Amino acid sequence: MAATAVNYQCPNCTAPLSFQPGHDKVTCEYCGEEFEVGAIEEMFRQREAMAAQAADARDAKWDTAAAGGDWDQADIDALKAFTCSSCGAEIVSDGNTMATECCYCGNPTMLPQRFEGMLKPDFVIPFKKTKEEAVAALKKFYEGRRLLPSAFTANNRVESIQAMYVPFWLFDTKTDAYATFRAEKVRVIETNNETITETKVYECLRSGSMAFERIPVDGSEKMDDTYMESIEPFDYREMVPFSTAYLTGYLADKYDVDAEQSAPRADKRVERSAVEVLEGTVTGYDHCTCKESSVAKEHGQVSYAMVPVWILTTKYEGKPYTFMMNGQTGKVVGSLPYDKGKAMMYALVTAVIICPIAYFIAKILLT
Amino acid sequence: MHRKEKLVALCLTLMLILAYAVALAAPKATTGSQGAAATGAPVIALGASVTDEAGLLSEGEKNSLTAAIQKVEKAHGVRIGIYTTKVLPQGYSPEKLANKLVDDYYSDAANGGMVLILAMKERDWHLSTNNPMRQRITDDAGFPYLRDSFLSQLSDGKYAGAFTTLVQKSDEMLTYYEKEGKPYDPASEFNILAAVAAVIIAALGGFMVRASMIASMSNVQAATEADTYLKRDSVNIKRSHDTYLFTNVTRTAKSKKSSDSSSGDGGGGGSHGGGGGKF
Ligand SMILES: [Zn+2]
Ligand SMILES: [Zn+2]
Repeated sequence: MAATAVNYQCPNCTAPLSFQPGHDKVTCEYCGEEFEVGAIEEMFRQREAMAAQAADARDAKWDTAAAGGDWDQADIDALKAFTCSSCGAEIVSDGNTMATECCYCGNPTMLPQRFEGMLKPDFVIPFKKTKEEAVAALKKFYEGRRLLPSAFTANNRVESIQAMYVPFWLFDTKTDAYATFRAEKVRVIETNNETITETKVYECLRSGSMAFERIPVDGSEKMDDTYMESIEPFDYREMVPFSTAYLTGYLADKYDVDAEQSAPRADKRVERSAVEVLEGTVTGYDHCTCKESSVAKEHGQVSYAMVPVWILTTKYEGKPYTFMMNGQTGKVVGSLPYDKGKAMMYALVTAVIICPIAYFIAKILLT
Repeated sequence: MHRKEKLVALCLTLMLILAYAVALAAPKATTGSQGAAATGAPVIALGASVTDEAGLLSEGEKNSLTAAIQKVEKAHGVRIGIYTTKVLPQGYSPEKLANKLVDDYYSDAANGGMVLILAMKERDWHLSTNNPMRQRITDDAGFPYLRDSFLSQLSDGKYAGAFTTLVQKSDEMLTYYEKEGKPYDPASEFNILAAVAAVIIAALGGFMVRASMIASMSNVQAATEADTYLKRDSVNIKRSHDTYLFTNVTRTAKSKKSSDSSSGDGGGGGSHGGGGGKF
């Protein structure tokens, strides 16, 4: 019914395309490109079908309410909370472990607080990496950094590295994705006096469904999201239902970004990956670019988990620099300050080395 | 005995020159006509510094040019000849004539000789250098530099200026050779433009090294996709449709190597150096 009302557009320049009856081919009045009428009709039929399907699939909300559970009274009594007097970070520990310094800003004053307002995690990935391993990884991270200020490593703080469980929201989702791609086959022919480049242009429609499991989004505001994403992935096969016993000897960060707020970060990653999966099925071409895409999430389940992280923050010239190690896999991430004088020296040395070589080459080219 | 040998040698030389003159004049005689200048071409005043048969120079210019050439000849132990003609003699290319003049009249100095000829009708010029001179003014580096110094004056009709420049530049290049022990090469001169380019490139390089070293101080990177969390077996492609749209064809012509017409034939092996062309 709606098919009669379809307006054809030129696939090349999107100008209106008019059909002359009785012809197999149609030429765009605007860009002059010629097309097979049959192919154009088929393409628009496919586009339409896909658009209809895409309209049916509506984004379902993440099921955030189901994430997390309630604590037993015994747990509440045993757990202690600490607040950083400098940056306001809230850290939780079992009654016997003291938070000695703030792992986000390096401030040594942690004020004890009443433990409250925190969901009980659904899962936990236990620590596998020991403090010795973390210290060794940190020392290795410092090694060979030519720009590292000597003052930064001089007050040997490596022993202050802390083990902490970081709260994570894990998003499960099923998606329906639709995308159109512009793909090209390029053939280059070399003759004696010409280079002929022949580009065959195709439009490729793809749709498909796929599921993603447990995309992690860090639930702590103090914890830099990009840091956490840098130490991904965690091996979920070792994830177990949470029990307070796992906290013994460790600190835990209290979540302060709820699942609702965290979801967009997961959405973005899902959308990108879904289109990439579709793009991966466009094969046999030399180039492929996505022209249009839509990704509908069918339904999402959310759970709340604690993941293990070794963390050390050192302040240098008023700015915090954090080193982090994945407590399960040992993957390391960090940022370090640099010595401005040393950086300038290396720049100068390089310039001094390059200058005569560049002069030599420039002179040959210019004379 | 001693006297007799001398006499024979003199006779032989005379005969040779005569035979030469006849050989050169012969083709002219058969075709008839041509001016007196052409006929006189091969028998120029033996090894004069300036032979201005085309009449391009005033008497004063000729005298001062001659003086300048002789000064340079004395200073460096070389021979320099400038020869202008209205028209080239029959059967002679500018190169052939210049080479011949160098060999016959300007090769009697230890450090080499050179001859510049100008043929006004053909607007041809050629500078020929013999082997010792080629060591001092090389075909690859010295000659192009020398050529570029006087060619534009030649084209503008400033003949006295062009010849004077040639003599001056030759003097400089010969002095350079004696001082440095190697032939002058403009490429070894300080080049301001290249220096500026080098400083900019070096500064850029230094800046890039600094930037990359600073960047290496952090390996923090945001994740943009969720590939790791994709359930591979859940992927179900429902629709897959490729439509051929059109073909674009672009043609680019390959650039052909063009030869430099003004430099003519210079360099290479052989017994003569230099080069020539039109002016
Ligand atoms: Zn068009
Ligand atoms: Zn703090």
